[in-house]
Amino acid sequence: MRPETLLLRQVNPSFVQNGRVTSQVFRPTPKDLEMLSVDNGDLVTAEASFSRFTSTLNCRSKGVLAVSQHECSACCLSVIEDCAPYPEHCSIDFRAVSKSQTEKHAKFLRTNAEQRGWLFIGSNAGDDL
Amino acid sequence: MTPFLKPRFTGGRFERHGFPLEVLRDFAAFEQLLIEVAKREYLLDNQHRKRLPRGFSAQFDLQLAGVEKGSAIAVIALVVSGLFEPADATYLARARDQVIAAIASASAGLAQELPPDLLRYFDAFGRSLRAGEQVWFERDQLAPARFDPEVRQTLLRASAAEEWSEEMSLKGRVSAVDAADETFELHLNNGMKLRAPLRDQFRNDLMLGLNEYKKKRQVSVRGVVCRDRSGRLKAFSEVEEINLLDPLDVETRLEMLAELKDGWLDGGGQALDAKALRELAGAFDGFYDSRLALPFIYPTAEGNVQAEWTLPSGWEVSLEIELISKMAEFQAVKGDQLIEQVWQLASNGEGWSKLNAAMLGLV
Repeated sequence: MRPETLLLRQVNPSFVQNGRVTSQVFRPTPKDLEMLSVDNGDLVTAEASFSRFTSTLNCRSKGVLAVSQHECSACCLSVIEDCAPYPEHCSIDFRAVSKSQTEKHAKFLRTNAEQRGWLFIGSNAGDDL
Repeated sequence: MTPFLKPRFTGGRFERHGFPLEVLRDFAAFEQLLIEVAKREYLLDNQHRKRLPRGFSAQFDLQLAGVEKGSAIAVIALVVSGLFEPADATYLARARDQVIAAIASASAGLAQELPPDLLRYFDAFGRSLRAGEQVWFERDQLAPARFDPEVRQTLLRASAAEEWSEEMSLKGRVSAVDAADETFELHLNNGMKLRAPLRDQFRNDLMLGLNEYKKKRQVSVRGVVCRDRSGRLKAFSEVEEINLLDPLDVETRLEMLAELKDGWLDGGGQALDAKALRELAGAFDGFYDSRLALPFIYPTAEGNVQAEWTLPSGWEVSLEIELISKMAEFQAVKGDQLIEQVWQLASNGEGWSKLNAAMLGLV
């Protein structure tokens, strides 16, 4: 993985209001066990990543944002190429980070992802909730 | 002046011991209902007469003589014109007792004695009552009769009316303005569309709302809405107020979040407590400094909310609010600078004052 490798993150529609995403998109929820799921953008396109998430995994996504491996490193967050449950899957590791630092890093990652812009937006992305 | 009727209003707006002016219109409708019942009583007692005496109804005049505390008790006096028989006033007293009995029956789920055509007068009486508000009518030797929006609906269902009306405030987007028909269409957030009369004073706001339909610009419309017998909203018959809402209007956003069901986050994600969200909306309205930018508000997986601000000064701010305990974790980040606080956003406003002060320090 290169420093500029983009890590693709699906965005739940409820995490978008008037086009702005919450920093929660870039921090693990309780079910994630402090590992944030992303896809390796060197191995899969944003559209294919979205398609697998919404069709195969039957989950909801407004579209795809991304942070780079370098941006994770800047927060001292390691990226694990765990390749499970599919070959392109990676996890951003928050296990060694306090709740306060998790929220702080999430803000940093959100800002960078927002500046990069949407890599893909689903066709049914009209409603935020 | 002896009180003719002393209905006690409780709940909601009446807990402040005053009378909202819009409720006064209900009294006019109540007077009309009493007079119609009194006419029927007179003709039953005087079956030899083919019609009522001229001016029978004009002799009665119900007046609001005062408002007593507890929560708000309306003192209504009957003034009878001296030109007529005082005995006629007894028909109005009988009408009062019958109407109160009808309300008590509806409240208890019993059959109605008032005929359907008279029950239709409840369309105008009680229209302004909101959920959680009640009117209590005292009865001799019996428990007071409770009248509330549900009892009103029971009475209207027992009438032959095909539809009835309610005063409501609804939110949605302006999806059409028809200058020829002088109507507009409100696209409610549940997908339903309602027609409403177009009044000149609201034309500018409606056109702004229409132009921003695709941006999901919300408007609130307050007025009289017709329902059919199945309870379905049909159309506005009157519009009293229209407000173009801020795109980040807190109450509207929290109402939307209240619609989330368990599992909203791909199987995880708890539903948010609707009552706590309403309380939070009220607290925001009452305590959040109006000089500050409104936040973006998102649900959290744990069933709480997180407010976020991206300030022009470069600060990224979040406030995670635990809905039941009202504990709030504040974090502001700008480069290497970090500010963190924990407050309870209690109803006394103290925590809110600290939030306001912290935010004013960042702008």
